[in-house]
Amino acid sequence: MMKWISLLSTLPLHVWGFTLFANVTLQFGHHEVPVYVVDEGNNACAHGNFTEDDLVGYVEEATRMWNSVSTSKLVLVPAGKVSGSSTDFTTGELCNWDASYPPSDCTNATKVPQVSGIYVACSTNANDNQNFPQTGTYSTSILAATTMNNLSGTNIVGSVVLMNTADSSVAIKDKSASEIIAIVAHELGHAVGLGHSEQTHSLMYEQSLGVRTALTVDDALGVSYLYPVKLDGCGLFGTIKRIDEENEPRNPTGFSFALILLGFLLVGLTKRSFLYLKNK
Amino acid sequence: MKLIVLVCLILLHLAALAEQTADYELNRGYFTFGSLTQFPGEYQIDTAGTKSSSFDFHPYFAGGLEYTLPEDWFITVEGGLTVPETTADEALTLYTLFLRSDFAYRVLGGRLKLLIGSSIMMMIMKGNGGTTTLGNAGSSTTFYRPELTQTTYNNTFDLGAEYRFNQEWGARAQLIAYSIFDSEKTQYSYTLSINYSWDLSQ
Ligand SMILES: [Zn+2]
Repeated sequence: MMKWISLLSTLPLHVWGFTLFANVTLQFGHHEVPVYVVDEGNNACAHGNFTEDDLVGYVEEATRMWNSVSTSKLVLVPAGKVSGSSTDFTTGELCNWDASYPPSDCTNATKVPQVSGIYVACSTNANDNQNFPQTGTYSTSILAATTMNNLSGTNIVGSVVLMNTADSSVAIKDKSASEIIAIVAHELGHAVGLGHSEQTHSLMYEQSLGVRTALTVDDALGVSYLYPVKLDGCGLFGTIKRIDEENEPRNPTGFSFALILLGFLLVGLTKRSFLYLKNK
Repeated sequence: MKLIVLVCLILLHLAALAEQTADYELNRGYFTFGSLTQFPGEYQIDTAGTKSSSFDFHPYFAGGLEYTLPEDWFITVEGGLTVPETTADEALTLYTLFLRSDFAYRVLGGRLKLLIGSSIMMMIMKGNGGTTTLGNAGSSTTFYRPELTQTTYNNTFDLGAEYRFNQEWGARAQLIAYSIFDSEKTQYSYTLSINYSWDLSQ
């Protein structure tokens, strides 16, 4: 029995698994997550050869990629720009506040603020070993960085994405709009809990390679695993383990549908056994 | 809108149930073997941006019952399971379980059946756990493979057609539309299958 199952069970070579960001499953407690673009009025994106308004457009396109998965209920909602008089997002250090996950300490007095939802900002912080470190120094080749900087237990409350526009030689300045959209989408993947993929063409691959205009199967499986579409089965099919604490109205359709199916089967079987008895 | 359509669907089912006192009758049972192609053309499969092919072979087995209704109508109920598959890195075992109900209408003297109905598609992802070290911003980081079993439940809208070679054998194509009420998430899958049916009415 197992033999033929294994013969049939080879997925196409392009299907790989996904990874998660942490050793526990971290996920937003609500399936609609707003994504803001930070504009502190200091043209922080300028070294990247785009503007904050361009970034709003890139974020819109990037959210569309994640929102296309029918088996996931996650909806990233582009929420436009937030402006502020401080420059804490664009100059601050990206690190978590409660030292729970990931374990990184701030070395700088100015921390990127703790947020609710996802904030995307351009960073002008080129300090060594801070936002874009590579072997202890600042790297222009790192395109962006993301940290969940507000956690409540295993629920993500907020994540911050920083685009590396720290100086005039950053790698992102030569990227096309479609490549930047893919870079933003990759970071949004981290922001909602996904780690890197081993597949070179995956959106969650560690590098920005080739054309990335859609998710791959492993990206889609990842977001479906973290944010599965579910019906209220009232225990009929078992309950989903992780995200069931959230206080969202449930969809009763599945339950009614399952009951109807069950009804049909029962009626069918009962009638069948009556007929059988009658024929006897 | 969503609610109205769903309520209509449920009422139609109930109306059909009510018919049992008259012409509603269990008619035939059937066994199905086929392939489920999930979301053709939706996902990228290489760095050139090529999208997934229009046909992928994911075998499944199903069984069902067919009830007669007045005129040339039937109702079918069916349950099935795809053969479990494991990803190339063995991180995940995947299979799909489904329950489906269709209204079927017989045309061409019973040669062809047209089907309209709904399924609950359950995609089961069994994480096999473990870690992997992958590149991250010029160095490397430990990432975590999924270790829970997670299931997605989709209520789908289905359209299909079945050709009957004879009383026993038929071939069916069925389109499965996911998230039809949310255009951003709407996706399609389809099944191609053959079935063997036998008489249960006596
Ligand atoms: Zn990354």
